Formats: sequence, C-alpha cells, structure tokens
Amino acid sequence: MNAIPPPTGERLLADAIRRAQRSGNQQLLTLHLGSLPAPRPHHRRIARALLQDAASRHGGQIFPLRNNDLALLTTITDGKGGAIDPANLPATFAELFRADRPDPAGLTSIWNIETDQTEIFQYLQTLLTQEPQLPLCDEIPPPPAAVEDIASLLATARIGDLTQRQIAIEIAPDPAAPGSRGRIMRPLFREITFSVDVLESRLAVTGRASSDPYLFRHLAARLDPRMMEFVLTKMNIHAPGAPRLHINLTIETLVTAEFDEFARQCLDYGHRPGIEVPLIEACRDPDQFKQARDRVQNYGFPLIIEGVSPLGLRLANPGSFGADLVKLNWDKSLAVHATPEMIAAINRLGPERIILQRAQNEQAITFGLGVGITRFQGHHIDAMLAAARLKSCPEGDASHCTLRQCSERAAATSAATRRFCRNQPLLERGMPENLRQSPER
Amino acid sequence: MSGLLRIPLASLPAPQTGDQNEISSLYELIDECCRSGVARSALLLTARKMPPHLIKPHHLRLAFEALEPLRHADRARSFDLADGSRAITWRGEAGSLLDRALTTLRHLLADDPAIADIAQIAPLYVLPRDADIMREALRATIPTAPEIILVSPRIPEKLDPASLQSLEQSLLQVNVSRFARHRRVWRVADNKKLEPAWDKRFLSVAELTATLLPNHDATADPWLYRRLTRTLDRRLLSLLAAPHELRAAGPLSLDLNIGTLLTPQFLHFDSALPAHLRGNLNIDLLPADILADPTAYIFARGFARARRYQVMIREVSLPLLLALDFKALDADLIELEFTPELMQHTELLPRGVRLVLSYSNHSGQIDSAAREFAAAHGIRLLAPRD
Repeated sequence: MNAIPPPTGERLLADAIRRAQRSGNQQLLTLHLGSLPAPRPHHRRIARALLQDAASRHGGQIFPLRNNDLALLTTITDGKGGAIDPANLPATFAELFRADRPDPAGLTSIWNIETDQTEIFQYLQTLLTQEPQLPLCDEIPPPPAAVEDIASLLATARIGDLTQRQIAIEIAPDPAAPGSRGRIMRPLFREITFSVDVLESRLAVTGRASSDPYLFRHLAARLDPRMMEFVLTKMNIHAPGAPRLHINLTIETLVTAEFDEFARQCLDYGHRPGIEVPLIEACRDPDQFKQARDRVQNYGFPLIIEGVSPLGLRLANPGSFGADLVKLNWDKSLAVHATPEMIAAINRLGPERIILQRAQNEQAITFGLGVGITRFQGHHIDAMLAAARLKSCPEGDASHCTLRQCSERAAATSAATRRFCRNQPLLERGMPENLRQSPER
Repeated sequence: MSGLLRIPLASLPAPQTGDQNEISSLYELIDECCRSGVARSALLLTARKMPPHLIKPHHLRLAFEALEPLRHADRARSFDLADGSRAITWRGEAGSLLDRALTTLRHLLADDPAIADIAQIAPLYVLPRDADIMREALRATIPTAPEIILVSPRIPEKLDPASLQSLEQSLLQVNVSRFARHRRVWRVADNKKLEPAWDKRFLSVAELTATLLPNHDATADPWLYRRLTRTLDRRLLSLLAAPHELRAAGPLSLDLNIGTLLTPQFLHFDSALPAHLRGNLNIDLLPADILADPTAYIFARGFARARRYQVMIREVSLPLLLALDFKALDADLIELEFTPELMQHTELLPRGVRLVLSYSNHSGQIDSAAREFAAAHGIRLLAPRD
C-alpha cells in the first residue's frame, strides 16, 4: 500500500483560497523570500514571526511554500494596525530587506481573493512546476574546542600545505600607447593566507569556524606566530626581486615583541610586507588598533584594512583609521545597486586607496574601473593571469596544462604542488612581462 | 605561611563558619536581589526563637516539614543555617503555598500562649526591600568562631576554547538569576535634577565566571569573550521571559548581539514581553558587531522597529565618532564614552539622534566634567558606570 504524500503548502493554500472565496473580504499577502539573492535562515524566521503576529491579530493563516516564499491568507485591513497590519506589511518588509534587496518591487505581492484569482493560481501553478528549495537552516558554528584542535594541528603540521597565495594587480593606462584606451596590468603583491577550509576538512570539524566571526578571530590570533615564521623561513623573501607579500595579522600580535622581531628580520632581508587587519578588529578596539598601526607604519610596512563589505563602506568610514589601503569586498550588489550613496562612500575614501578584492568576474573589473578603482584581487584575476601565462608559455611547455592547473599552481605555497609547472620563472612572476589588456576592456 | 591571611571572623561581611556555604549563599542571594532588583521573598524559621519545649530535633523536623510546600514555589531555595534555623527563598508570589506553610506552623505552635504572631518565629522578608532587616536577623544565627584562613588570590587564567566550552555548558544548566544585575541610566529633568530613565539589565560576567569557572578571566581574550556573550544573551533572555519577571519592571535596556536579536530565543522573549514595556525597551549593539555583518544589522534594525524596540549603538569612543556614519546607521540612540579628549572634538557629536553620555563614576572629577559636558551640549541622558 502506497503512503499518501503529505499535502504541500501550495495545495493547502489552494484549498484555503477556495474556501475563502465564500467568506469574501480576504487577501493573500506573499513574501517572495525565494527571490532574494541570498536568503538566510533568520530572514524566514523573523518574517514568519511577523506574519504570525499579523495572523493572530487580524485572523489568518500562514502557508510556507516550496521556494521558501511565505504566504499569509488574511482579511483585508485598513492599515491602522501599525507595522504588522497586513496592509502595512509590504512597507515593513521593504524596510527589513533594504540591505538584501534595495529595490522592494516584487518582494511582496498582495492579491485580492475575489478579484485576483487568475494571478494567484498562475503563481501557484508556476511553483508546482519548480523543484522544491532546500529549507533555510542555521549554520551551526563549531564548538569552541574545535578551534583548539585546529590551532593544535597547526602547531605541528607542515604549514606549506595549509596556506595559499593570491596575487593582486593594478590596471593602469599603457605608457607605451599614451592617449589610447589600452591598459597594462602590473603585479602589486601576493597575499599569503591560511586555508581554513583545508584545516577544517582535515580535522572533520562539525561546522565552519568562519561561520562564527568571533571564534574565527580567536583562531586567527593563534595562527599569527606560525604565519610570521612561515614567511621568514619558507617564502624566500631574502631572494633578489622577491615579490612583496601581504599577510593577515591580528592587532594583539602587532603590539607584541614577536612582531617586532619579525619586522626586524624582514627589514634585514630588505623586505617590507603589507600587514592586513580586518575592519572589525579596528572597530573593536580603536585605541589598540592605533597603537598597532603606528608600529607597522614605523617599520615602513603598508597597513591595509581588509574585509570591508559594500554596505560596511556606507556605514563606516574605514579611511578614518589611517591605513594606507582599504580592501573592499566585491559583491554583485555593488554593480546592480551602485547608488549615489555608494559612489559617494567610494569617493570619500578615495578610489586610489581601494583594492577591490574577491573580484570573481568581469563585472567586478568593469565596475571598479568605472568608479576609478585600479587595484584588484580575486579568482577572476587569477584566471586572467593563468590564461595570459598559458598563452605566453613557450610552445610545448603549456600543452599539458589546463587553465585550472595553472591557476592552482600559482596559488600554491607548497613546492610539491608547483613542481609540475615546466615554466617556474613565469609561474613565480605571476604574469608575462608588460601584460596588456585589449582597449575594449 | 606566605599567601595566607588570618582575619577575625567578626570583621567579615559574610560569616564563614559552621554551615558557612549555606549562609554565604544566602547573603549572596540577598546582595544579588539588591543589585539586580529581581524581587524575591524569604521565610526564616528561627530555631532559637522556638519555645523551649519545642526545640527537640523531632519538633524542628515537624516545623521544617511545615515549610515543605514552599519548595514548590518558583526558583525556591532552602538554606540550613549553623544554629539549626532554616530559610527558604523564592521568586514572585507563593500565594497558597505560603498560606499552607504558615497555617501548618500555626497549628504546631497553637498551644504556646507566648507566641502571639507566627512572624516572631518565622518572619517573612520581601527582598530587596527588607534586605537590611534580614541581614541583621541572619547575623544572630552565626555562632562565634576564633578565626578563619583566607588564601591570597591567584592571578586569573585567560579563557581558552576548552574552558569557554566548559563555561558555556555550565551556563546551560545553572540558574543565572543570581548573576542578574541592573544599572540605572538617568535623565536630566527640566529642573536639572536626575530622574531614572531606564535600567540596563545584564549578567555579571565577573561573578558568573568566579562561580562557574573560578580563577579565570572571561574578558581577557576579546574574541572568545564576544563568543561567550552570545550564550549570555540567550540565558538573559530566557531569564527575563520567565513569568512575572518583567511584570513590574520599568523601561529597560539590554546589551545584545545582533545575531541574538534574530534567534528563536529572542522571538520567545518578544512574545513574553509585557505590553507596558513595548516601546520602552532599548536594544544596545556594539559597532564591531554591526560591521561584522552589516546586512544583518539593517535587517535586525527593521525588525526591532516593527516590534517597537529602540536601537542604541553603544560604547562609541572618540575614534569611532570619526569612523562611523551615524546617518547611515540610523539608530535611535548613540551611547558616547566620555573622555576628556571628547571636549576637544565637539564638532564630531552626531546630530539628529538622542545621545547618552556614559562615564566612569569612580572619579568625582570625571563625573563632574562629564555632567558639565552633557549640560553644555544638550545631552540629557547619563549612564554612569561603576
């Protein structure tokens, strides 16, 4: 005997609408959570609580739908019931989702049960043709002790396998063709980071440390000594023409004697690494940050504030912390919703002080150049450089390589991964000499 | 004997002999009620006031059994004192439970004409109102002792992930009401006098750590401490959502993480919030927490407004006045940390938003400078810190 499948939200809603036609004065309010670019579990939880409140006060029923939309079938109200009056809920939701969806059009729909039946059933019919979305579940951060395990592993592990490097570039007008629209790309630095994903998968940690920003910052502080040791011993910073490195350190570390020793040794090798500090560290303790910044800059090292989201750039002025550069995270909302406020925030900081990081696609480069940003870092840059390397590699050297392999070898800090490349000098340089972009870009 | 200190018992505020743990806990509970404002009641059955013919062990046992119904009251705790007395405390109203206990006691003592009122034997105290009277009564239950030895304090250890995990697990099991505290924020009235504006409710991290993880400093590692605050948030919300807890409370504020505001625990608290507090509760957020997840902040701010909470950005120091865009943050209140340097940068004071001036009241000089600064710049909300 086959079990009867449970009724879906769509079918329950369709039945409820048919019943509601008899009573009249009913409306269907639908919050299209499924249409958000990145719906999060709390979106659904809070929205449902507000809808539930409206349902309790004005009579109604909530229907969770397969694409994560939420529908409220309720009486038609006059809007005098405050923020959770069904008539006012579209405005309330527009305010709530302002950062996630600046344009509220299409976020909510209100249909009259008697007059808008065609639209309602068309909407439900469309839903039934779609695959159900996975429910939005909270990401469970690892227990604190898991961070201890990661830190312990790092104390003994071969660190080269657990780190990666990424090049940052500057796109500048081509001096060989002044007045034209041609540009050249110049390498700026290489950032060395720990791959926390690799660490977690090696330890089979439940939950991602990066999902808890506070545990992650604690872990970062524990990793600092190993990172400084790694740079001094494994990254050949004493070699002539070694590229400038950037590393992430916490402000607690920057005010210690260990950092002073690291800085002295770097200077002995003639190397001035860039030191990157996240914006939240600067905001957590501005006084300690100032102390750390002064020490870094007194050694002649550039100080970079990183981890600035587009919205963070609007809410804060990272330029006030006196860093040399600021890393702005690329996010497609930057291009889609490049509001005058956002452009003003970029201009307030100064595009010449910004590195657009996490540049994952061509859109990031186009946006950046459009607002005067010329420094970039991200997977799209990695792919562009890998393509340029493959193209300029002498015939035969690159014939066995794919774009992905070339990209991965360039990102590896471990010689074991890089050794498969037959053109090590080019791989180390990162890009061919005088790499030019086409004027169309 | 280095590190050991001999102190005569009489000089100690709380007694440490006989059933010293019990009476110390009772003293602590009274102190907590005074600090947190959480109301409790206490009944003290005083053994030495029992009639001489009723002080045999079996008499006392019967008297104690009479108090048994009170053990079913909300958060009831029982304390056996060194002189054979017993105290029972509870939160809220015990109603019929108290009536039953007192009626049984009256029956037991009905034959003694010297006892006109049961309160002679078993006085009832309403805390924190009767705290001093109860302390005085407890002092009389302490037998004398020659001296005790205290070990000098050790330097507390920094919290590490393992000890944090242990602390978080302990917090899930312990009744945190004994760590609840409140601190008043004042409003300068038109006649220049200070009047209460609201109470900041919080859990005392220092006392909680001293109890659950002795000899550790929970705040020494800034990020692990931030993580701990999430657990503390949930425990505080669960405490405040208990029936009757906020029934008589006035306007208040809570220091919360943004993430907490979006949890099921907050929704539970929200549904339990008495109607008179709707519109009278501030949610206080940290700038670093806002910038760790700005989209969550915007969402949480919208939710807070929909539910008629006010959002305050707290612990804004002078460098943060430069670093934050208060117009874009669009909070209802900003709590500024007063330092003498602030007086040199008055042009940075945010406009169009209510300001709260927070300052340490350890130094009378700072206190008066802060109040003068507030008066000069129209800041009418003052938050002195201990």
